[in-house]
Amino acid sequence: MRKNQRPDPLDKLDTQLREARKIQDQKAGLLEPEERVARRLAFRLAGRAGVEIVAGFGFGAAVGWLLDEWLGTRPWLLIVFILLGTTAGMMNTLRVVWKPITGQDLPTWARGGRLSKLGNPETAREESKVANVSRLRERSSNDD
Amino acid sequence: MASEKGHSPLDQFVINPIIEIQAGSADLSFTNSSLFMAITVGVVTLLMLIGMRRRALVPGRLQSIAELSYGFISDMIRDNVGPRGRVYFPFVFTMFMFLLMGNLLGMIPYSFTFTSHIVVTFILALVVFIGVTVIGFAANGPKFFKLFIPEGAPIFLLPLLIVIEVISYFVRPISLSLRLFANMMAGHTMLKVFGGFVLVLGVAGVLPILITVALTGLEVVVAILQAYVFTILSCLYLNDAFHPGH
Repeated sequence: MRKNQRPDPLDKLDTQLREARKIQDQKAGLLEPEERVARRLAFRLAGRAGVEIVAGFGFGAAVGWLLDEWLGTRPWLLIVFILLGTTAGMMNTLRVVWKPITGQDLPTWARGGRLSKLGNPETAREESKVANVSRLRERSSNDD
Repeated sequence: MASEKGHSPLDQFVINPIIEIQAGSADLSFTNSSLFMAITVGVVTLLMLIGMRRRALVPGRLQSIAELSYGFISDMIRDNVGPRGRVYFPFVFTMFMFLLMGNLLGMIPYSFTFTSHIVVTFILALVVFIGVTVIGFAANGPKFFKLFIPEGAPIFLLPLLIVIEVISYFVRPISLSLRLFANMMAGHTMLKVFGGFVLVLGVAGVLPILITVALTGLEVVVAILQAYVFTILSCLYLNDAFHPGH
């Protein structure tokens, strides 16, 4: 599945849908208020942050326990993997929470391979939505 | 209810077999959990079929629900995965509707919330996890491993960071399923606990009733929100599969 091998019908469908939606939204005057978007983001961040650490700890403990059982090295791998797992959980939490709280990007090495250029797509998307809304508002007030 | 014979607030999560089926050593009984999954699938299917039957230009209520949910997931995939993700629309949409309807049906008194069991949410998360990994390898080949190599890290930290990245990749299905399960279970337990106070407190029981009403509202929000979170995170993971380390 290379990029150029993918049939463009999907791309075409995408642009068509996008345009149709734009016209529809303009007709209906549907614009999302910034406050609502921001509040939704905060809600989700709070829900996500804690679970990541717990899951990291649990996964590390499980892997460490099983490896110890297998290699007969109790308790050393358990300790090591609990530390690693909790660290991974904290990294995941930081990735979710860092930008919205500090307003700055995480250092590249802490972002993991995946998010290096995009930032956190989840928050990036909400941010771009907020920006879009204010831009559209500006434009419409200029037109008047 | 909770005051009779020491009923526990956790009783609502007990699995009861309705039709017992034994296949060798495996217990394949049709349980109350399976019943509510079947009901959920039925309700979603009916909602979509009836909603899209008329195809009116000005949609009625049911058609609005069908169209809004389509547009919601369609936008979500476009914004988070891009045009290439559209192939996976059927899966993402089915999963979202299943979770959403399951969570919401669970809010009806005397019904069963199958998303409050970690087996259910974990298997769903595992399907997403394995699917995303396979898709990632199919789309990128060995380049997919770039996902685990952080950019711009000092060389001596790299081995440690790669181990942490690999672990944090495997933690994904766990945190994904844990979040949904914990939210649903905690909420429903809390409702039952406050419900139990009502009879015990007599006249002062008005207070826990008020709290229960407020909690019910909150739980509806949580039901919708958690279905959304599960789905959007799946989309983000899918996005990673297509664009590792770009």
